[in-house]
Amino acid sequence: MGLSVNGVRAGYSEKAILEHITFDANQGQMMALLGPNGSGKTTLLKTLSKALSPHAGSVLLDGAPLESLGARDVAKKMAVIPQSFETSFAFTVEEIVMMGRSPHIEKRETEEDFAIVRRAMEATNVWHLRDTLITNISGGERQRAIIARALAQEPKVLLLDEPTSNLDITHQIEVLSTIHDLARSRNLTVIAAFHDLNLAAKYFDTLILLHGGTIRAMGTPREVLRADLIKEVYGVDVLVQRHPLSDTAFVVPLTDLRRCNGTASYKVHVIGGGGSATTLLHMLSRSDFNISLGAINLLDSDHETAQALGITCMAVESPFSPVSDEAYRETLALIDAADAVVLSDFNIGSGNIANLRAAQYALDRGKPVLCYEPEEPAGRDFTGGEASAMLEAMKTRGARTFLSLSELVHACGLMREEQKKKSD
Amino acid sequence: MGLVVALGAIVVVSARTGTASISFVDITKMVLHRVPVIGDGIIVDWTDGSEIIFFRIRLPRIILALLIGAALSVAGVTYQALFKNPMADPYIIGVSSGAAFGANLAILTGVTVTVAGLSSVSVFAFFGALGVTYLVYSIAHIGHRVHIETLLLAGIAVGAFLSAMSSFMMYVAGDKLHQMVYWTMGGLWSSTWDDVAAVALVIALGIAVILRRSRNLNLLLMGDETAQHLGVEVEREKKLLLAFSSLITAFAVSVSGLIGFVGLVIPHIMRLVVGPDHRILVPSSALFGAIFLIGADTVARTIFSPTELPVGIITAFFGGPFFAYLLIKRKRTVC
Repeated sequence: MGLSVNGVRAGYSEKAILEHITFDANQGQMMALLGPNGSGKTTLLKTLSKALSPHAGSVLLDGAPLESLGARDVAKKMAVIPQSFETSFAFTVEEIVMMGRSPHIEKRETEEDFAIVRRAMEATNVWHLRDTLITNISGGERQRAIIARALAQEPKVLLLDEPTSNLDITHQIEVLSTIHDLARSRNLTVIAAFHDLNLAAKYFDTLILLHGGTIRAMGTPREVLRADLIKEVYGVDVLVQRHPLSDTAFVVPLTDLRRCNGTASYKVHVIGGGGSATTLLHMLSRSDFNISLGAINLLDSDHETAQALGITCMAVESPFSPVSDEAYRETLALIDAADAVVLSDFNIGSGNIANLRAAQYALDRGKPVLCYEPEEPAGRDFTGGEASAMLEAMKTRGARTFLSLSELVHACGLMREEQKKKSD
Repeated sequence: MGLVVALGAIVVVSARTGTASISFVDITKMVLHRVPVIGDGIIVDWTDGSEIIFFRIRLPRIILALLIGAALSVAGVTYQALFKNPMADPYIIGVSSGAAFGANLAILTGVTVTVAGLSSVSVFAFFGALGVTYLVYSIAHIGHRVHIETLLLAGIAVGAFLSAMSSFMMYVAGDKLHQMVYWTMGGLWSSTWDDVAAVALVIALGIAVILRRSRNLNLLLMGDETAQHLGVEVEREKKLLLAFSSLITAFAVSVSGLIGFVGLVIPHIMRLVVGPDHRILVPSSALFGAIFLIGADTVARTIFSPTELPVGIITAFFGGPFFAYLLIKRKRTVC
């Protein structure tokens, strides 16, 4: 049994920041506390670490109430890794790690203490720094030294407060992998406050989403990282997909679509994919059109081109995935905001046929639709004729086809001038 | 350790040095003469004058310098760790202004209160020092926590007020002014065995307590929360350390006046030499503080012999440049 939290209410003054917090963290469980700033993550960690006493409810460490334990008893079972650690006092790294043995040492450190410190330092890969001063090592090394100090306490529970927020991406992954492996090999209970939803999903098996000081959701990453929950708690639109490589949940923030509606110049929505729209995007961009793009997969070269061109209005889908309902709705929203819709000669399969439906929607809404079609579309139709039929139908409803890109862009320019005249 | 030998050496050198020179041989014989059994075999061939100078004047003074040097240095180390600030010294929370206020009050009013053989100036200085510490502590004690920053600021506030009172007393002191000024400069003249007896026990006890808690001082240096997470009952520990370091400072200033510089710089010097680990830093600061003050006092009483300088002048005069030299040559960082 690791840590058990029962009906905790806590805060810094009389006013409670946390209410009704109840959960169990078992041995070997890796739990991430998520939530925006001010949701109570840090307050909860402080309550768990006995830095703050709860107004009501209890925290049980290994079955014993925290209030009944002295600081030393707590330190023997639970270690805390702070967000960052700075000291101007010139201790060596080994001296700092040895401080983790303090709750166990009665008078002097024994051979065993030195052995434990050495193992902890080897596990976090800082043994070679043992005689270096803590003031002379990098932030990532220092954080690893502090993890070693926590391990030297030989705890059952490890609490971490945004342990990687001050580190670059390499060190974030290094530190998290270390913690993950150690938690597995030593059967530790790990509870960590976290900002990065994707890192949390990758390394933690249980997520707790805090909102306004209460637990809004708790469960596996798939259960907690839902677009509606994230919208509710963080107030941002996201797409949640499975990571193509690690099969974990993957959260992609969406651009604020409202921002796309504000600008005055002519708006062209581009539907492409597989790099087919790259030249088109460049040409439209050079002619100063207000461009949106989608639905498009992350990592697609069209997506990268759009990013390079500074195009921010995109309906994005996670890498190598079919167009989801959410991305489709985003696309329709972008089309609603656009003055014209342009299709490149992208390959069409069952995954992205939704993009053709989006083009049909544009026709429904009376938007001009322009298709770049240097060859018969049958060659890029992988739907068994369905796509070709849809394109044919669109042409009869007024969609125009172009054999060359420059003609297409020229046509867009003419429409822009026409609109300008009208508005004048 | 080398410091212990050095301490022994400086005690002996200091004992023979002075306006009246006493030889090593005589000192050895005088000391052995007082030891039971061996003493009987020693033939008394020194003058009574030598014996009085050695036993009544020099020895208590050397021992007092030893105690005060050690006390101020250990208090300085402790304050620096508690405040996590290398600029802290034993006088930082107003002990000095309280003691000066007490001493000036005693000098001005000419009251005669003697406790345990201490002069009324000492008694007033002691209670002034402790009173201020308690007042500052009460201000900074909010809920059941001591706020270290508030402690510092409250010390400045109370200190400023008491300094104003002291200045006022000096202004109206008339011919007692020089006595007040001398006291604030700090000195060990007219030290007696009574002085030693009055302060020895508490200073020794205080240093012993802090020494025993030196591992916790290391942990407190890492910040209150980290210290707690590493098993220190932080609030209790801070109160205890604050109480004992203030107490030994109050006892020290009560008999010696305001000897500056020792409590600030000895810990620094030792940190440069032995590093920040308090298990080594506290004892070595105590020893080096004792050596330094005995040495400084010896210079103070001999350099313009037969006149004496206040030892506070010497501590700063030699300590300042020496510290600067170490800063330039330092191997480890200062703080």
